[in-house]
Amino acid sequence: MRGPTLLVVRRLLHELPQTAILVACLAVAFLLPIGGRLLLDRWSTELRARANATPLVVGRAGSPIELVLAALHFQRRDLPPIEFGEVLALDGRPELVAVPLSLGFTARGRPIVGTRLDYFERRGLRPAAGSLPLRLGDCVLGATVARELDLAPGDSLFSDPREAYDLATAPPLRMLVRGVLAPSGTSDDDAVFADLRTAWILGGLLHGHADPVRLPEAAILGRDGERIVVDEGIREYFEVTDGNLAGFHLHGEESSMPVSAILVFPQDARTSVIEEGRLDAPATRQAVRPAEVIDELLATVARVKRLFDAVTAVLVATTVLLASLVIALSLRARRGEILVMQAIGASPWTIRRVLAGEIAVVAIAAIVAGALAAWAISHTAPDLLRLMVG
Amino acid sequence: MTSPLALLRDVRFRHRGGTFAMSVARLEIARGEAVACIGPSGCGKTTLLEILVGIRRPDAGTVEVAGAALHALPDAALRAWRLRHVGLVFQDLRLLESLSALENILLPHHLDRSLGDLAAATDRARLLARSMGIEAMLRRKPRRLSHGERQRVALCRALVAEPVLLAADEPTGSLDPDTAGAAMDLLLDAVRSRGQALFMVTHDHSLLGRFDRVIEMRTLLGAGAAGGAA
Repeated sequence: MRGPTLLVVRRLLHELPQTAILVACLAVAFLLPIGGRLLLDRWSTELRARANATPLVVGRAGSPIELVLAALHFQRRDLPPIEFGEVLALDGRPELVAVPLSLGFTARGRPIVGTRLDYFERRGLRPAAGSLPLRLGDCVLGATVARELDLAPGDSLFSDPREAYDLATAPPLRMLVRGVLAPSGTSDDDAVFADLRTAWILGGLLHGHADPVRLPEAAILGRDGERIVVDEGIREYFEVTDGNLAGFHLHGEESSMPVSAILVFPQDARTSVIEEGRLDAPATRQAVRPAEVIDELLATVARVKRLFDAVTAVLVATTVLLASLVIALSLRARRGEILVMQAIGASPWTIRRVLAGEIAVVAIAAIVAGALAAWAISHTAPDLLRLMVG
Repeated sequence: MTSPLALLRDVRFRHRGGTFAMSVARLEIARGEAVACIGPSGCGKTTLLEILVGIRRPDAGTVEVAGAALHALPDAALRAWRLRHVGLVFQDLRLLESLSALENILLPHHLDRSLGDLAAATDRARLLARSMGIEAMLRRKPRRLSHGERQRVALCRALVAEPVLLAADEPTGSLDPDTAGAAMDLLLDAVRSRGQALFMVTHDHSLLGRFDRVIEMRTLLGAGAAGGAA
């Protein structure tokens, strides 16, 4: 290395902390508008893609946005439930497929989605290892969940207790990991899937325990007609095994069991329109087109983004002005250095090359750093988006 | 009779926007001659040095150094000429803090690649550094050198392009008498061993005995005003 290049490099290295701070400030200034747009684009794309792949969502009357975000992205919100009977009614209709979802439970912080095998077919999800949930108490993990929790088929996963200090709620369930889904790049990667009935176990509506009829007399504290009062040592099963499977039973009618939402896949557009009107009819129920709801949401976000863009423009302009001031002050402080180069015989062109070279290196480093940060954002965007949505 | 290395004739100069003006009828510096220039502050010593090496242009008169008519050279040619023919030593040394001692010495070569092969210049710089006892410090930054070592680096920088004229502006101004004497020895040894001329502005009258000739600015300017010779 020699000539002006050497002078540029040595100067920047000589004041490395100052150079690094200047580069970082400019990089953030470059990153803000680019990263913001990139993030919003990814967010919009993912939300729209998921919404477009889901013709109708049915749920309890309330906020359409909450219903859609919960049903499509498994937001941890306790949606007011509708009854499973609604699903049973739709199951008899050959022109559509109804996929129930039970939400609100978690396992190690990841959402548990209780559903049926139709869900995997409709979403194009296939296991990368193991199989789909086959039995009550099985679960299948999204790719990200499996990676982050380091779980594989054959392992087990406990559901999170809903109320740590409420003994009346169902205890955590130890679920058998039956399979791991292939990565899909959607919210499915971050979820734990189980059978709908498994979700009812988590809600305490379906449970299993030893048959009180076969209990030893010592465990029976009293009898009142058909009711038997048993010893507190007779506990609920906290996992489902081949041996205790038969001991699980519903407390109540299956049709009255809760589901959080129903994804409805009509066979054609005409059916979709008819079903939307029909399912939206009762005041206690809503049927929404996710694509329309997401468009509405994104329109609101776009309005907010315009404000964000204006603030960003001011911030970028301020940063650039401050950087210019820092550079101008630096040049003033280095006047002696410049004068000595002039006195020795350096041409103005050479001196300009040295100074411009320093500014160019800082600007290029800032752009590269900003671009790398933007690249990192683009690669972690799905996770960020799920953090924002979830 | 050999022609002088430097010859200034009927030089007139006035600072733009200022009241300072000077006039020099004639000033000669012979090849290999060591000349000291003394005078009170503000009398124009530094200005005269700058005219002599082409940093400033006179308003009138001629300045010829090493066969080049500096007063007539275009700016670019003048800078190129100075880079090749003049070595400068400043009072505050003005080393670039971001460069190592060796890189500081080679600064003229980094500013103009046409000065020649960098490898040869580097060899020359090492020889100069060895002759001045700073060869072991060539990788150090100026802030890690003593004042004496920094001064030697500055001197090496002035000599590395093998100039015919070394111009020094109060290089011993901030030094105590002993150190100033040692620095002066170094400077004179360097130019005399290479047959180079030295023009040095100084306030230090204790050093004047070491020079071949001493120019008193009042005398020079007085002669100029009267149209006489220096």
